Amino acid sequence: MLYKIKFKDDTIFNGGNSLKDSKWNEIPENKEIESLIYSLPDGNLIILREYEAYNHLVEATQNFYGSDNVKETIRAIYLMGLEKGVVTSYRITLYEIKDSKYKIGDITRREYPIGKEYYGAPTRGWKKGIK
Amino acid sequence: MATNLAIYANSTNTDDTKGNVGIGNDAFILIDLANDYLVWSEGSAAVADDQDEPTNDELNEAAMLIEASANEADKLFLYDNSQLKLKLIDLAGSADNRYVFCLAFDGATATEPTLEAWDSDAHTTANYHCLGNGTPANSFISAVLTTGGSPGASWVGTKIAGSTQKLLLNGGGGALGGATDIYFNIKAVVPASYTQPAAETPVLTVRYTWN
Repeated sequence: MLYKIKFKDDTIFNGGNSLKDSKWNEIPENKEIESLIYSLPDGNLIILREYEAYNHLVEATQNFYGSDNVKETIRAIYLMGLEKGVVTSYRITLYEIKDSKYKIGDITRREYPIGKEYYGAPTRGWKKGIK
Repeated sequence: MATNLAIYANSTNTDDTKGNVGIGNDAFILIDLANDYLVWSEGSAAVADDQDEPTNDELNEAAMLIEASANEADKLFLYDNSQLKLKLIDLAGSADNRYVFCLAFDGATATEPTLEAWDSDAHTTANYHCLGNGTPANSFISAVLTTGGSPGASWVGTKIAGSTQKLLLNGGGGALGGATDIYFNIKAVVPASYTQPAAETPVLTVRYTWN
């Protein structure tokens, strides 16, 4: 299971088992998320809680020219929490090669104004948290 | 659910959609991302449509030239490993052609997909000469989104290199709302009297996300 969500009403939503089927879009829209408990590649957990809204992205690339042609590569997961117009973004690295800047499992934390949380642009898929 | 991407190259002279031209060896070719590759070239007897895979010597002999004026690559080929042949992508380049490459997304995305160029699969540097030698705005490679219409004759497009110079594949309109065919054209132009010859193989990549 990728993640578990605890709602304000103490009910639980269990996420998908694969990044290809995270079930993020199946999270009930009418319930408030109290916490998001996410499993990391090394087996540890990262917990986001008490945000106004949450988002989850899987980032993939496909190279189609050059010496490093590979099929689809899942690069990273982004977990995001919104509070007072600021998005705290946790990027979890899932792919590395010999000259990569980050290693698998590295987490980088950044803050952005809402609407600029992914390379200066907005994201889709926000789920309601606790206001 | 994950969103999947298939990339096609139009190997015909018919400037029409993938649906109308069709998919196949002499139509929109589904690019085998592990085994196919692109070649920008001035062309030669060996580096030509339907020729066998060229050797490095043959590629060098037909390489793009540095000239006193800006020189656009005369030809773009796809080496189709399934046919073991070079296939000319004749619509590619600065002419007013629309349906050259097709990015077929089978679902919605969480962010706007982008077309990018990097030195390698690490996607950390874009310092190749053909990517601007450290200045992304000087990249030799330009691309233009043509999903909504033809680019115009002698189109300028967007120079692509690194994270700051990339082509937004929904025209700045944000994430894709569902399955979508996106089209783009691309060209490579060596600046006038460029001082440094090089043999480089940058990585062109499409970046996208799903929830």
